[in-house]
Amino acid sequence: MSGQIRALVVDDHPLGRRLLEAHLRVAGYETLVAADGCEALEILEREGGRVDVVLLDRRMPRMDGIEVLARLKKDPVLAEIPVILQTAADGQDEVIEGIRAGAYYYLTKPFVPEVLLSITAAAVEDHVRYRRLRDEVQRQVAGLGMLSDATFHFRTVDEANRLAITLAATCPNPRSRVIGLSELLINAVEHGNLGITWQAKHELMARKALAEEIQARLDSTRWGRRYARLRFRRLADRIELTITDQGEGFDWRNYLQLSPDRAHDTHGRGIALARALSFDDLSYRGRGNEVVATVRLPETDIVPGRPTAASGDGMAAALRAVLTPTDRQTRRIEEAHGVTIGSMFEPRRAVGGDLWGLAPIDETRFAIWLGDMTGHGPEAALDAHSLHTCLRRMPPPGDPAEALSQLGDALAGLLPTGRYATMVLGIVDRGRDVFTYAASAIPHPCVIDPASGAIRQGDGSGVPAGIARGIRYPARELPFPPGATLFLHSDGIESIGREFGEAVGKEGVAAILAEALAGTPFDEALTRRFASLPRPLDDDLSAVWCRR
Amino acid sequence: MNYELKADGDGATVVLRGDLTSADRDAFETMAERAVAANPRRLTVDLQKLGYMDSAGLGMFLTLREKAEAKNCPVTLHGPTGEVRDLLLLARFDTLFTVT
Repeated sequence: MSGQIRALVVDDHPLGRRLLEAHLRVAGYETLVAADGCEALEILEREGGRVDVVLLDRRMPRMDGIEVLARLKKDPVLAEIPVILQTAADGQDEVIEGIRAGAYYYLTKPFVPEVLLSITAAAVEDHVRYRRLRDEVQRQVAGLGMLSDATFHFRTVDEANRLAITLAATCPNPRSRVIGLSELLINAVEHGNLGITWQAKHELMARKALAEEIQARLDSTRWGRRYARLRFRRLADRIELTITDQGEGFDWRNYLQLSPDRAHDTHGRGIALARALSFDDLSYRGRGNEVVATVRLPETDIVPGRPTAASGDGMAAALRAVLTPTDRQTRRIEEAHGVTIGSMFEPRRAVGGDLWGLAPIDETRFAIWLGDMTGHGPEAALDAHSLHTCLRRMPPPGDPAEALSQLGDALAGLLPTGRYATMVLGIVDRGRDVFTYAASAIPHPCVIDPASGAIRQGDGSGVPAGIARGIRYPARELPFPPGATLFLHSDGIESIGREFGEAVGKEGVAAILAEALAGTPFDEALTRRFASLPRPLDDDLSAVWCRR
Repeated sequence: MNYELKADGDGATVVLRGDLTSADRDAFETMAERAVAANPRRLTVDLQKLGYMDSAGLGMFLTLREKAEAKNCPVTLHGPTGEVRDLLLLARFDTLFTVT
C-alpha cells in the first residue's frame, strides 16, 4: 500500500479516543478521529475508500456503533472497510450483535496495547489482501463464462489466489465471491495440505513467521508434494466449487460462524466470512478436508448458449465442454437408468484429444463411449472434435461393433495418415445385465463387482479407428450386474508420471481398481493417485465410470 | 530414440533404440525417408532394442508403412518386447504388418 495506513478512531470518550490514537500513531498509522457515530459517518462519506480501518466504539450517544455498522454495510464502497468493534469486557451479547451486523474484528475495552496493534494489523492486512483480490478480479476478462466442468490442482498460496481470481470472475458478483474463495483455497493449502493448525498459525502470526513457515513446509518432502484440488461445475441453476485437500481435516462445525469466543482472535474468520459474504451455501464433507461452496445463478445467467468473448482460454474451455456431456445430459441418463456416472478429465495442456459421451437408446439401454485422439494439444482437440461430430451424426448405436466400424471409415476419410482414435464404444444393457462394446486399441474396459469380489477385464484391443477404411470390429461383452461399476480409461493414465520417473503404469491402474473394489469411490482413488504428481501432467488423464 | 540403418541384401533393416514418443516425430520422418530412398525390396524394423513406445509411435509406423508401400516395399516389425509388444498387440498391428 502506498503511504501511511489511515485509521479512523470513533469513541465518545476523549480519553479513550486519545489513548487509541496515541498507540496507533506510535505504530505508524495516520489517524482520524470522530466523537460519535454521526461524525464518523460524515468523515467516511467524505474520505470514502481512503480509510483503511475503523475502530468503532460500541456504546455511543446519538448514533451507536451498531447503527454506524448498519449504515456502512449499505454503502458498496464503505462496506468493504474493515471495522474493529470495541466492546465491554462482559459484552458477549454485544459481540453477537456485532457479528450479525457484519463486524468481523473485536477489541475488548479496556484494551491491551499489543492486542490493539495485532488486531488492527490483522484487519488491515486482510483488507489489503481483499482489496487486491477485488481489483484483480475486476481486471479479469470474463472469458471463462462458458466453463462448465473443470478440475484444477494447486499447491501454493499464490496459486490459490490466482485460481480464486480466475474462477470468481466466472461467477456473478465476482468482487464478493473472490474473498471467500480465496479464504477457502488458502485454508486448503495452509491448514489442509501443510498441516498448520489454528494454534500454530496464531503463534506464527505473533512472531511474524507465517510466510516463512509456509515456504519451509512447501519445500519439505513431508508436506510439499501435496496438491489440493478444486472442481468447478456449472449446473443449470448454480455453480458448485468443490475444494479437496490432502490433510487430516478438522472440526469445521466450530468455524461456520464467527463465534463470540473467537471474535477477538487475529485469524480464523475466513470460513465464516466466506459463508456470510461470498457463497449461497457452504458445506463441509467427511472429516473436513472437502468443502462445497455454492453460487446460485440469477435467472438471466441460466440461459444456455449465450455468446461470450472468444479468448484463448475460453475457446479451450468451450472446446472441452463440447467433448464431454453436459451435466443435464448426464443427469438425464442417471435418472432414467438409476445409475451414477462420474468422470475425471485433466488434459495435459489447455485442451487434449480425449472425449467421452452418453446417448439414450431405450428404457433399458444407453450408449457410453470414451475416446482418445493421437497426440496432445489443439491439433488433437480438433481431431477429437471431428470424432465427436461423427458420433453425433450417427444414429444411437444398436450395435456397437457396427457403429465403431462406421466411425473408423468416417474418420479414415477425415484424418491424415498417422492420426487416429483409440476408443471404446459400448452399450449398457440393464435388461441383460451386460456391457456390449467394441474397442480400438484402448486399455481394457473393466467391471468391478463388489458382490462377487471380482474385477472383470474386457478386451480393448483393435486396430486404431481411422487409420484405414474397411476395418471391421468385433462385438464383445462383459457381465455388468446391478451393484457393479464399469470403468473406462484411456492409455494416458498409464503413461502419466513417466516424465517424472514414476509412471502410473498398469500396476497403478490395477491398484486403483482394487481400491474401488474395496469400497473407495473412484473419484477419491484417482485423486489420491494423481494429486501428488507435478502439474501439468505429462499425458491426458481421462476416465469415466458408471455404477449401477 | 536413435536409429541405425543397414543394407540387408536387396532389403534394408532399421534398428530402433531407446524410447519412441511424440517428441521423435521429426527424427522418425527423416529416418523413414532415408529408409525407402534406396528402393529396398523389403524393410525390417528391428524393435528388439526399443524399450518404450507410446501411442504416437503407432502413428509413425503407419506413416512409414505408407511411404514403403508407395514403393511396393513390405514392412516387417521384428522382435518387439515388453511394453512395445503389448502396445502393438493392443492396436492389433499384427493384422496390418508382418510381426516376427
